[in-house]
Amino acid sequence: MRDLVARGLSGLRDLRNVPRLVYLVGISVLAITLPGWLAVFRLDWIISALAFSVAALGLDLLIGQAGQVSLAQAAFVGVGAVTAIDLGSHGTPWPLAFLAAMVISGVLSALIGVPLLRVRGLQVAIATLVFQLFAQELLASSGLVSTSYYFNRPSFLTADSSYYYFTLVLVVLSVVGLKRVRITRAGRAFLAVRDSESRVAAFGIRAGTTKLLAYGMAGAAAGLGGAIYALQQTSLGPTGGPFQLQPSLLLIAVVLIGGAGSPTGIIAASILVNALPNVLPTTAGNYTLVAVPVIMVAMMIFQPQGLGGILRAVDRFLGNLLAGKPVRYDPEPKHADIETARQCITGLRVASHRTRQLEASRTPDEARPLLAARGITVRFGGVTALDSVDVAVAPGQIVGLIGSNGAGKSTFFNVVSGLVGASGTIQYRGVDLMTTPAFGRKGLGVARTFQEIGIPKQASVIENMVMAQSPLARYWTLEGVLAMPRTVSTERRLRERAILSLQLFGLDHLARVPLGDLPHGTMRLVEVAAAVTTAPDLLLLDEATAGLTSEESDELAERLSLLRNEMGIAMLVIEHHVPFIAQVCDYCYCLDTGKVIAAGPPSEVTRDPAVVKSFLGEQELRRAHRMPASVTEPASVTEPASVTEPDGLEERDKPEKRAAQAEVDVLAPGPEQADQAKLLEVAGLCAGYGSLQVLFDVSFWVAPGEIVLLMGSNGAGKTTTLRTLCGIIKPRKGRVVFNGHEISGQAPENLLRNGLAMVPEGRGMLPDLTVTENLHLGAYISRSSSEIKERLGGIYETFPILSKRAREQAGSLSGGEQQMLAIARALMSQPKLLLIDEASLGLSPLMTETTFEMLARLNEVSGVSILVVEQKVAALELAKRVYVMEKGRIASAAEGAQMAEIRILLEESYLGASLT
Amino acid sequence: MVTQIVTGLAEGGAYALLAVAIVLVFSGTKVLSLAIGEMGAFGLMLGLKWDSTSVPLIGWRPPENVAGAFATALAVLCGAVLGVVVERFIMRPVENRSPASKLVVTLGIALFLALAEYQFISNSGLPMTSPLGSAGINRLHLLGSSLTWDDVASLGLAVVVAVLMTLFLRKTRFGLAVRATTSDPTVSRLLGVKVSRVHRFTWVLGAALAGIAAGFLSATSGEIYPLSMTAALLYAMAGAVIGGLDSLGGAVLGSLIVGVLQGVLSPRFGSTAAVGATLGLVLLVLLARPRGIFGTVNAG
Repeated sequence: MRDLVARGLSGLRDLRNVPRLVYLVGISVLAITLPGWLAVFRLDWIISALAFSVAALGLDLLIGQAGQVSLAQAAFVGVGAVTAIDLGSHGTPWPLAFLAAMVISGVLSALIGVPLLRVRGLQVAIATLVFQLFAQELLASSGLVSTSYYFNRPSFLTADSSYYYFTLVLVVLSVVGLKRVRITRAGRAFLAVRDSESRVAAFGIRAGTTKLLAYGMAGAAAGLGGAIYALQQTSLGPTGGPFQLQPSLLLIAVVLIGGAGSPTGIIAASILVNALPNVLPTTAGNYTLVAVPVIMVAMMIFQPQGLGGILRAVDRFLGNLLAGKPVRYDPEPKHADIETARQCITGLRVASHRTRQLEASRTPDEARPLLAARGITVRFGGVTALDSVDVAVAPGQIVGLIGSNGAGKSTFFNVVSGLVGASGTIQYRGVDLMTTPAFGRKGLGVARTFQEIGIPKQASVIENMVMAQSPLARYWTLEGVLAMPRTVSTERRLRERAILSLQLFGLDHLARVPLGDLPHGTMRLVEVAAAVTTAPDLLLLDEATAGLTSEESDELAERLSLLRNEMGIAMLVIEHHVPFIAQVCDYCYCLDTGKVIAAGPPSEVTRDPAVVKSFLGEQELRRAHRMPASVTEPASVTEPASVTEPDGLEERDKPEKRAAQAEVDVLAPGPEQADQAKLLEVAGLCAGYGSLQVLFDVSFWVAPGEIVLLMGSNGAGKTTTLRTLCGIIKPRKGRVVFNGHEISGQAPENLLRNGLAMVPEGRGMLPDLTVTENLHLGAYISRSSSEIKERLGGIYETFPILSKRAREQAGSLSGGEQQMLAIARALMSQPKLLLIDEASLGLSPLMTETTFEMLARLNEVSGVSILVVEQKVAALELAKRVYVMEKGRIASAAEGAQMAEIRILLEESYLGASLT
Repeated sequence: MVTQIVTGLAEGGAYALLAVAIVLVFSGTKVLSLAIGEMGAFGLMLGLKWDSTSVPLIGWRPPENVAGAFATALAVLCGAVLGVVVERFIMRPVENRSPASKLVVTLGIALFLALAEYQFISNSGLPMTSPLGSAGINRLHLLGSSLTWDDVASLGLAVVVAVLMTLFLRKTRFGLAVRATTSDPTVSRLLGVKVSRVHRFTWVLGAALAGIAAGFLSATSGEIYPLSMTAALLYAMAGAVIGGLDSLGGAVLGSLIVGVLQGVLSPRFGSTAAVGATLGLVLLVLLARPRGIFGTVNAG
């Protein structure tokens, strides 16, 4: 107690806390004095509203924290009320009746959760809504909902004011209890399940059990609310039970108006919804009731954080007035010197008993691999993502996994961490990992990071760090709620380790910042730090360096080596940035379309001809556009090619002339001349998502009839550039001029009408529609059906394979055929410029070659300009000009003869300097 | 047994129109709309109130035998107007939220309309005879059971609407755009489809259909009161989920299954058991075949 007071007083020293204290005191005074000045019948309504707020608080835990949108909460309020009435009317003392109401509602709610474990999102809402319908029928017909059952209040509660205080105490206890849930193991697990259910197993969390716990707790809260309501009413009338459809919908309204995670907001909303309409004078009250859903919808549109969000904003505003603006934290990692890092690692080691035991068991047979995966095969539908892959990691070894996009690297990680089923065997420290459930693997010492941030972004950095240690948080949920000594000491230990790990990566100053507020690179580092916290034996890192500067990436390499040397952590590292592999790895595997194509020390693997080919594409691409078209074109395509030549292009320059003109431009790009020749000009483009800026001052241009390449590694901003050109993302700055018109910021619907056609990343198939329907949609903006028919004929002759598949669903085509269809569909609108995102993604080398050739031919024959986003160096053969992007900027550009230099540059950046 | 099945089919037929409305909106917008029932009911309640008073301003009072038809027509009109308003001012701003939170938004709309009905139209049930005028309540005898022409008309209408809409979606340019939007809105936009127009179209058509459905459903039960169409909507939604949320034919079939389930089980085991069986079936479908019998996309 004295502790608490001391802490409270020291908290007051920070003026920022003053508004919160003032309003806490204000609410307390208001709540305590309420019976003194409020008429009794009005107090009665306040009591019911408080009873409902308990149920709403539970629902908030289920919806807000665990992400399960249940619409059946009122049903469990009903179960609680009926249980309490039934027991109470048979003379059970109220504490027992209340407890029974909570337990029965909680257990039933968890039971209903069982069939819902396999469905998510909207399906949960549907199922719970139908359950609500069932439950209200059942409760109404149970016979207990009648005036013949009485639950009489004990003598000390007969007065309304004393029942009010009784309710108030229970509400406060619920708030405190649910708050404890949030800040202990269970609450963190809820959050993790909500944000990435498919991944939580990798943190050692059982998604199923966690969800059932959330259902159970929400049910128990509803039961308590129902019991409070029942004892207040003493009997349930035949109609107007608390479990009907309307109260059920109003409960949702309360949670949404109140705001996720804000008890004050929710209690206030419950009073607004359940009490105010009855407490106010009739007319005003009725309007209040109608206003409730209006407020609810308005909140959902304008203020998704609800009343709680408004309260927090006011709090922040007043805090800033009193204490000045908070010091802006530096979102980048600090430089931590190597000595500090070493100390942190020692600290982590001491803190981890398990690792010490393991070290003892590990030393004897150093030679045996820590991880030995053999014959791992994964199929998704018809696609073989991994094809009998063998990978071994020795204890304390850092092993690299490289390969182009879609090679199956992340899938392999998912197999090891148990998120994807596979055939084959994985021996880990002599245990068959395949028989260990996914959530058990973290406890065995397998930790990982994800390519996209896999940990909850709303939670603070430190909460994420603690969440990552879930298998080490060994206490019962109820212990956590009651703050038993075991919980407190465990939580303290987890926090200490989290801080050590943060210090190791220079992140400790960011502990209290919400993860989502940090730049992408820093978030990744946090994820690495979180994975290290448990002192795993095997760490799987999926593109840990994406978004880091080269200094930061060097520092990360140093930390990883240190972790390996001092703690003996073995690592498997997926990287696009090959120099990083050369820097840290002892051994390296290269994957290509699901197969291991090379293995050995990094320096050897990166020189392996198969690897070079896989990364750079075919060395010798037949250059269709450099030879007369008729020579390279297969006979069947030569004829119809002239048919596809769009009418609009007839008066344009003939290909040869155009090519010659382009040549001149390249040789002597005089300013005025260049201006005329620009079909597309992008100048100073800046764009991004939310707080994340991806593009910085991107400028480039495309001349009529030209093929231009936009190259760069993953995350360089290529796709974002195209998405901004299309209008999917609004540019923040800069201009896009197409064909003399400013088009930046226009909606994507206008893209085709402006003469640009897009082949989106992943080909943008409409899988349920047939090939013909997809093609028809390509010409959607044209209203003349005869014209569409004519174009369709031309396309079918150019792409005979598509005409064979005309009536099949687009989703059933192979990857290569889909790419054809995507390009053909884009051509249906007869665009002036074709934008293609990752033409070769997921295609075999042969198919890639075919696609590139086809693009070259299309350009040659129809004169359409093409802007291709690519990773494969082989695409360089296609174009006369290339721009290379790095970290959201155009890093270099070249045309004509200079392109050979670009090639060397790209080869270096993909495969490391070792190649040259 | 046969009698009960026929009765059940009649009940299911009434849900089917509502289920078709749900499927239309879902196909166009990926929103599972719980507002659509109340959007149909609002105009109907207004019309029924004016049947007994008289239409304000013009002071005309519909004659007794077309009172139901007048109210239903008003329901269709109001539904269409509400469809435009809801799509433009409520659903568009929340377009990028999760499917579940959009469902909750539609709940808010339903609640608002219900409370507005309660407040401004009637706080108790309004009697409803038949959308077909006095002809609708005439009975015909079929396989030993007695049906009203309303029952036959609503089932027939549901089938006709489902067939016409399916043809429309398969054969016309705009229908293709609607299906493309169902499949992938972003890609559709890149192909020049004005997705917001698709959204508006499905909301307006869905809500107008819900107006007709409200007319028939309330004629079956004899009255309409605030939230009663939302309760009926839950059965229709169960039918749509069972049949497949993006399949118009599936919606009709699913509703008939739900109707027959009610018709057969209610007399023997009580309505609670019938609702329980519906719940069981919905859960079974969600677990075993989340896209429904004929559907192509998963709900959520």
